[in-house]
Amino acid sequence: MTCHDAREWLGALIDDAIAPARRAEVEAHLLVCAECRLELGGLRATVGLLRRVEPVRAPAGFVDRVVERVHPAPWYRRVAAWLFLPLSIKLPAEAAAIVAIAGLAMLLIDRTPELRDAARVERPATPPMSAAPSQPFRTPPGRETRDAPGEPIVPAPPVSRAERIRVAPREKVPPAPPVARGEEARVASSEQIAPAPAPAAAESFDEKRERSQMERKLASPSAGRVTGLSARPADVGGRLQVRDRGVAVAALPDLLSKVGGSETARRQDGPDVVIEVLIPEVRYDDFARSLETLGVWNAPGFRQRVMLDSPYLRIPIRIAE
Amino acid sequence: MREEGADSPGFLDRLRAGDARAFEELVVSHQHRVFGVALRMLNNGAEAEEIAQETFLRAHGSLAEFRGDAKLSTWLYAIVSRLCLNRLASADRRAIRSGEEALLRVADTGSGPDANAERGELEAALHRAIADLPEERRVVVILRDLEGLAYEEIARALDLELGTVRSRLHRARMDLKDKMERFLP
Repeated sequence: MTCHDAREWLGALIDDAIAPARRAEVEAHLLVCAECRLELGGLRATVGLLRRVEPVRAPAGFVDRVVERVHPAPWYRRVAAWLFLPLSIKLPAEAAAIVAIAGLAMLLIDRTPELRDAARVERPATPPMSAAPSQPFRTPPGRETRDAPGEPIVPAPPVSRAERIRVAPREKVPPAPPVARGEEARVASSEQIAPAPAPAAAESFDEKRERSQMERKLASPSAGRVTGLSARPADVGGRLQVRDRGVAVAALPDLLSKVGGSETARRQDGPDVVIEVLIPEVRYDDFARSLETLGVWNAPGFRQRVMLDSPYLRIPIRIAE
Repeated sequence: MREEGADSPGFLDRLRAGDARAFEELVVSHQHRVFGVALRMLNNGAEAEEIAQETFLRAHGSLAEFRGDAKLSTWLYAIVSRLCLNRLASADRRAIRSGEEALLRVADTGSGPDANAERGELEAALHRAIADLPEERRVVVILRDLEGLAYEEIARALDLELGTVRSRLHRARMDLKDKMERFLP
């Protein structure tokens, strides 16, 4: 047996995977060949190293993942497990998250006047009627220039309720400032006018422009001609106590036209009629006086104005007998 | 589970009948060996787990065809070895260097500060040497010297002649001896 032949069998000799006859041949060669004995020693040591290697362990959860793939759990169990397991970790974390989100929402509403006002408008509008206006009518700084004679306000002619429902705002209304399509749709669909967004510090140019357009649109008496009560916060709210509700309702358009105002919405609230109007802010005193000719006008006072650059006041008038 | 129990006729019958608990026992008892072969062949933990899972899925799908001529473990070794060789031969498989890190982490497991530092170095070198072997030699040396399969079982698992197993094993060990020379007495 040559060294080459013998070395082919050294591994099998180490593993005791060799036939007895072949083993005898290889061992006989090793007795006379020091180099092959050296080779055998090196191989034995190498195999010894290999067999001392630490066994590998499968990663944690391996069995569950295999079993899950073979026998998938029903979807509702998987969802429940994903949501809640392990209970000791996920349940407290989820509870904390809910509390944190609720707290954040409360804080946001509290710190944002628009959201706070919107939340108030959502409630049934039954403002206290006893108190007279507690503050004189004030024009915000800078308002005088806008209401100057050079910029006359064109009041819209009185429009009946039926006409308001039938005619789309863009067909009959004098040209109003261009507005974003979404905004226009919101006004046209009525009853869904959202409160003006809060002017954020980091507001983009487009957002500012859109907000400005929306405010101009809301401020325009023609644009406010909608078929339902606007969700925009009222600037003044009041109760007109009259002897004959029908007479008062019929006379109101005349009063509005005299002060350059218009009716924007009307609804029946029990026995009362609630009519929402827009009038120029500078004509409010005249309008209040003219209401006194119909009955007793009780306005609890001015609210915090949301759109300070609007020259119009939005006033829901509750006409009651 | 002991090997005898795993290959008992009752257990095989339960497996063939689709007994979920029996299959889970099979996975529990063979998970480390199957994953170990995959990890040492692919040198990447994520790929190794994928292949190991696939091994058990294939086994589950073929249990009805398992005649019991070989041991269940040999059958699983055969599946995982072929899956690994196919993966290594696939054109889109990249040589992932981070896989070596996975093996080095395995090598470091259990090493202490001083006395085991040298052992950690030795094992790292050994893993690297194994990873550098040609695939057909690597799988033989893994099955023989790390997993302890007999030549006949390796031949059956890899569908090779006994002489081919002996020859590839011899060459693999010679390669390793050359690369590990500084650690040998």
